[in-house]
Amino acid sequence: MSEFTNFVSRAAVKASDEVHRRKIAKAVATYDTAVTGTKANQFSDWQTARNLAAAIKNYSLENLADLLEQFEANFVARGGKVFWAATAAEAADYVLQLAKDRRAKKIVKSKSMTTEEIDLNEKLEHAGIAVRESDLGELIVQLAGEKPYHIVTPAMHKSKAEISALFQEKLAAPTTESAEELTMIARRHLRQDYVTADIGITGANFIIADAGAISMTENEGNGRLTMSCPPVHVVIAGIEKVIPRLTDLSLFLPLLATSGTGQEITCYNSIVFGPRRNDEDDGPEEMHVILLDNGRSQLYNRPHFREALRCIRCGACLNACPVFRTIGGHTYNVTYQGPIGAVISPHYNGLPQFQHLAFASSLCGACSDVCPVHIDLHHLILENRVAAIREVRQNLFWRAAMKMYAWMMRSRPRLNLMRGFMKLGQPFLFMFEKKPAPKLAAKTFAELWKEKA
Amino acid sequence: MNSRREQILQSLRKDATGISPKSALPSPQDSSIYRNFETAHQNPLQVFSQKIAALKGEFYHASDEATAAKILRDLLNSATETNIKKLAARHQHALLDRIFAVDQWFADNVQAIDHQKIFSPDFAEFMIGITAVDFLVARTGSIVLSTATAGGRRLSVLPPFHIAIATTEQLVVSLDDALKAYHERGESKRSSYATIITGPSRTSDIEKILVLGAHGPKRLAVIVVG
Repeated sequence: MSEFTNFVSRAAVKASDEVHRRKIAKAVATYDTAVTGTKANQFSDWQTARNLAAAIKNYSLENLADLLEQFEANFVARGGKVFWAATAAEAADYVLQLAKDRRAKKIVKSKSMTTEEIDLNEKLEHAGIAVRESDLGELIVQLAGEKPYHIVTPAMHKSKAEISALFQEKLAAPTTESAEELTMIARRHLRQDYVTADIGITGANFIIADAGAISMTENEGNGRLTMSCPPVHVVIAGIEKVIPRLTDLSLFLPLLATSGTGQEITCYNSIVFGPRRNDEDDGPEEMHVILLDNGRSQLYNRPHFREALRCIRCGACLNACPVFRTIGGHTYNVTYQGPIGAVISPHYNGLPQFQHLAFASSLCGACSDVCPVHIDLHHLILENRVAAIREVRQNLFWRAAMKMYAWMMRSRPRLNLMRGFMKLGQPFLFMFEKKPAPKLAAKTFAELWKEKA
Repeated sequence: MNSRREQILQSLRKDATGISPKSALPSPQDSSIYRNFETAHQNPLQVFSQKIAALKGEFYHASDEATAAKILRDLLNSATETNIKKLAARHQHALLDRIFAVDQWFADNVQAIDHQKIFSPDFAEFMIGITAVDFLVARTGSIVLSTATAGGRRLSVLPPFHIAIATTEQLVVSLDDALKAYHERGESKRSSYATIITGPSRTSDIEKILVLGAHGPKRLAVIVVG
């Protein structure tokens, strides 16, 4: 079965799963309340804030090559290492080789969608290296053998009861319905891993050119522990993450937190300039930053699509999307779900296989409205539809049907004839649908008009 | 450096989409975008203390170092039911040294850690980490720590209780002020690591329910002297 038919069948199952719907509706409602409050409390002018962020990101993209070089020069001068990876495989192989060279047995990871993108865990585990996801949500999906459900809230789809059952099975933990107790089970489970791991792997939210540093945003502290304790720190970041100045964080950190979780600023925002300096008490002896392209430079050069690289991965477009809320994150079967995923995934993962994601949208524009860096997401989804139809879908039946439709619509008598067919055919058209057939009005507008006159 | 470097940089310089002319880089600070607390007739320290409280952190104001020492001793005593002896750690820092010199009790109860001790397996068992700070940010209720002033990376994150001691001179209004000052220190005075801490560790990964103390400190107390 193709990726497309799989998508349709997964979507059909999820759309009629009411338990799933209730869980997601509750999570999104909590998120919405927090975001609305924070936007009003923290910002007097949210629109100006997002325009400013978009302008800074535009500048960064226009000067991307120069800024990446500036970052590299500053970072390398402090003893950091930079590796440029053109593909997912090159990035994963670099980490694998590093792990082998350092004879690493255990790696502790903080949440990073970029590592999901390059299938790092699978490759490391295949080589016999234990990988510990340390973010609570990531730990839950890792133990469950699943992929993250949502780029910011990986375990959004799991209830307390399900998590408790999982912890009982995998960690021999006692049953509990308390979120606090479940969190403490995870805390105790990972405590020793930070200090015994051979390598710590994190992502980066921003690459800072003028400081030659990376910045990482989190709430739990697992990221801080991951880059503080193990002797080697590896960062995997997409090349589009660059911002020009350290001070730009004073806008981007509140913006990301507001759109990501509805906080004014997240609990921990760490800025890492390099490996431990000689005059410092602790910290990794080695630090590597992998700059990942993996399709980004192609998107960069594709007309209209460059602005998609402004994305700061806050997840707001997923939460706002009526399609995401109905079919859920796993249905997309890509690293980046929801509207931003529908825009970038076909370009990262192959348009032929993932072109159908362009159709997983109602084009309502809710995503573009909430985007903190003003990406015109729904128009880019439309662009992908055009590309899908021009470049991939050579569906003769579809083309014939559309031609027929256009022919029908061009004349009133033909349209009236069509209506007659619709009335007759409607019960059959909806035979296999879960939703009830909409009722056609007894009289058309034209008929009513005539009567009035 | 590797062969892919040139290839990637080249493809980013092609500029096939032909966006030109290049745009100017705006300043990240447009004072109109944030709600301004000065208009509410509040001073930065008040705002800071309110923010910390709202984030479920603890705030203590000490008029001088002797008072700070008293507050600290009370905090350490209340922190655990068991004897805190040798379960609290701190690093060498001028402000901390002065406060710890006020009361001999500290010498017997708080360990000074250094490059050697921080790597001992016992350190993972420490209950309390006491550090200095680089800046306090009023608007967000954040504290900014860098490795040089905070005794390395793990002292402020591994123990479940973090006590940060600052002076009123370290208080700035916005994150922009703190980052600017940090950046202007110059290369030789910047540490390898800095972190902006806003409240105790938290998570809402399970059904969006807020839980404190996910992996970092469950308790955060800030003592401001002056």
